[in-house]
Amino acid sequence: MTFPKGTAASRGLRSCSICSTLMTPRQAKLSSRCRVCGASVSLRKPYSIQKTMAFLITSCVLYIPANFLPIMETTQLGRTLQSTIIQGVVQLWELGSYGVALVIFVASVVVPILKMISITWLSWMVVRKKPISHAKANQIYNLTEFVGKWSMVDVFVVALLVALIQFDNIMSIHPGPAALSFAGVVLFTMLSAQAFDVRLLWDKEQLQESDLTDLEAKN
Amino acid sequence: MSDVELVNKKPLLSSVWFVPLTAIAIGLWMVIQSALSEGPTIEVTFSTAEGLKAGETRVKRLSVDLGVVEEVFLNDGFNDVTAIVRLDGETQELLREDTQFWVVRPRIGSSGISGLSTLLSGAYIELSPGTGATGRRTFQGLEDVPVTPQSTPGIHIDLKSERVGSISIGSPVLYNGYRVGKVEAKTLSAEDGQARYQIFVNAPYNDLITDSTRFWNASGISVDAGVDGLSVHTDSLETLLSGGISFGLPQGASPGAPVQDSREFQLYDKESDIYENPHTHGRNYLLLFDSSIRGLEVGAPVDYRGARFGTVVSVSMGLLQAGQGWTSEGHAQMPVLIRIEPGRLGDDSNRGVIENDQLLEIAVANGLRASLATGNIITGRLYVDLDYYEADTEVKIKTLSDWQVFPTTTGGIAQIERQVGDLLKKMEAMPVEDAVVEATAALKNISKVMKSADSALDDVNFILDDPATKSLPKNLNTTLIDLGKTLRGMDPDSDLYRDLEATMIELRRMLRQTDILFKRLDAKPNSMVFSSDQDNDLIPTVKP
Repeated sequence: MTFPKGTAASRGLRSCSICSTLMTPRQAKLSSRCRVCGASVSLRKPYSIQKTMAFLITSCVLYIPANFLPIMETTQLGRTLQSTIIQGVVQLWELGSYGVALVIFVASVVVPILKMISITWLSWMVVRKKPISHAKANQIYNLTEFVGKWSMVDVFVVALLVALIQFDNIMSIHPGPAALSFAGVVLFTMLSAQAFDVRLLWDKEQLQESDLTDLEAKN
Repeated sequence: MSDVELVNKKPLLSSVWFVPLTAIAIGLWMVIQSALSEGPTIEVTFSTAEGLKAGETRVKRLSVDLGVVEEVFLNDGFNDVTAIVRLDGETQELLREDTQFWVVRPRIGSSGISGLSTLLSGAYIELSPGTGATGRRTFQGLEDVPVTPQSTPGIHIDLKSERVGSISIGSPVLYNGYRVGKVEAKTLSAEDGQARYQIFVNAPYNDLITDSTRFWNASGISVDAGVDGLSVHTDSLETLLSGGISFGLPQGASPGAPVQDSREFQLYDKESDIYENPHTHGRNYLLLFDSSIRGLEVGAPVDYRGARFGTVVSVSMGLLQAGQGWTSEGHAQMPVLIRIEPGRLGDDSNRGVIENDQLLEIAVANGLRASLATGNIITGRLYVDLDYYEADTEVKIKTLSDWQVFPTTTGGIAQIERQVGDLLKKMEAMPVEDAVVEATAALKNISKVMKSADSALDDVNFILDDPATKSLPKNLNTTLIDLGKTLRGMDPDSDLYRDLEATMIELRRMLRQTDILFKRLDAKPNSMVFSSDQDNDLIPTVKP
């Protein structure tokens, strides 16, 4: 693996991800463990893309039951209603709670899908041979990180509703099996984003302006 | 120092791939499990989809959730609604030939108010499994809640009645005042205008219903004004308000064979009506009468020598077809259809009817005929009388079209006419003139006798008038007084009496003496001659 000129990696220097202590190539040959904290040190996160994709696939798999199984069970005057995420959003919209409906829609549908797509795209950018635009890649990566913080909103909404609305047969809400599934989705997208080594993006050759114009000229 | 290169041979695939594989495996397993635990899908047809919501309405039995309505749509004819229902897991056993479905929603109807709890919780479909074969998947849903749950042991009976009365669905069925069942359904038949009730009698009381059982309307109050006075009768407050049906055996009837489910019976208007027709088995006969049958009504009795044997069923020219009903002399005959009920005199069963047929054949050969007789002289009502006349083995029970024709003879007024005619003939034949002559002679004799009696009486009178006769009583009186004097002389205080008494005493003494003498003689016959040894009396001595 050749690293771009001027990077520390091109000189074989690596830093401990825990204590940030620098490790020289000579030290690396002796031991892969950090001499200060003992953590395992490597140039790049091992199996980064594999882990990223594995976790992403897991979260995709879990996303299916999260949408098809009911996320909450509403009991109103003895009548029990089970609703999935989409059904819940529709019900809230019809009830007039446009804001809540929008929030839940964004948090439960837009965010996970967006995250999945972006992580996939980033992984694809790392794996393919062609040069990439670092700026764009960074933007997307930052977006992913930003959006990731809001993933758990839907789970919090369900948790709050269940905790607050407990009036037995008059009105009560119980969580459904999809809540667990959705929490799994969020967890695995988080793990996926965390497993992704952003440095791999920087390792890629920068897409040159000239390459772009060449491409345009060709088309 | 030698550099030891730590060459870590890293495998191509990270072990992290187990994570997605596990997730996929779990996902697949869940899908397969839910597919396996899915129960059968059935179609239920209703007349309205009121209360049914696709995806929401549940199917329950005894409040246990069994499935959910998936789809609700109109039938091809746009007249009915079909609901596609998916049931859970192991519900195949519940889907039988006679499984019933109905929608439980708030109802106010002839069977009462029900299903109010569904106002809050929403309508649901109730399932009631039957007892038939499994495997049915399309069902016709019921519109009304069945009054009796299907699996209840008991018997259904169909009742036919001319009057509708005050019986409604849910009314009680009573036996001796005990509630043993209830009315399930009530329909009016368009064919014959009769009301039909379907009742259900719970086990074990269904054993009480036999061939001879009679059902009557026990609703309300029945008032009878008869010879004994006014009698008011009501079964219970419940029957007073909601009507009811009672059943039982007519007095004196024997219980018959047990009945099957859905057997049809007649429902009588009141209890006394059941005695009108207590017998189920009988044989119809056609009678052809030469004379007028005015006064004979349908329902009139048929008597056998005074004992009720049957009933007149029909009096109608329609019984005969064209060309029938004419005697050999050209007289028109009136047809009467009677029903002989052997049960009235004996065995109320099919066997009894057959035995009776044979007996009637023999009786007809011996002279049994049917005739019209007057039941009530004032109203002129007639009845049919079976009695023996002249035996004639030539006469038999004939067959005319579909009917058995019983031989008839004239009776009643015609009979009287004949008898009077016979009497008159007899009277004509009598030797009246001779009798008159003899009577005259006898009368003459009598007058002679009377005359002599008269003269005898005159003589008696003459004797009585004689003065000697008159003095007779006086003489008698004097005689009586003398007699009385004489009798007084015989008084115990008179001398005569006393003398007599003394004499008697003397006589007695003498007789006693004689008696001793005779005794001595008896003991010693020669004591008259020889004196008897006399014992010396013992002289007491004193010892020195």
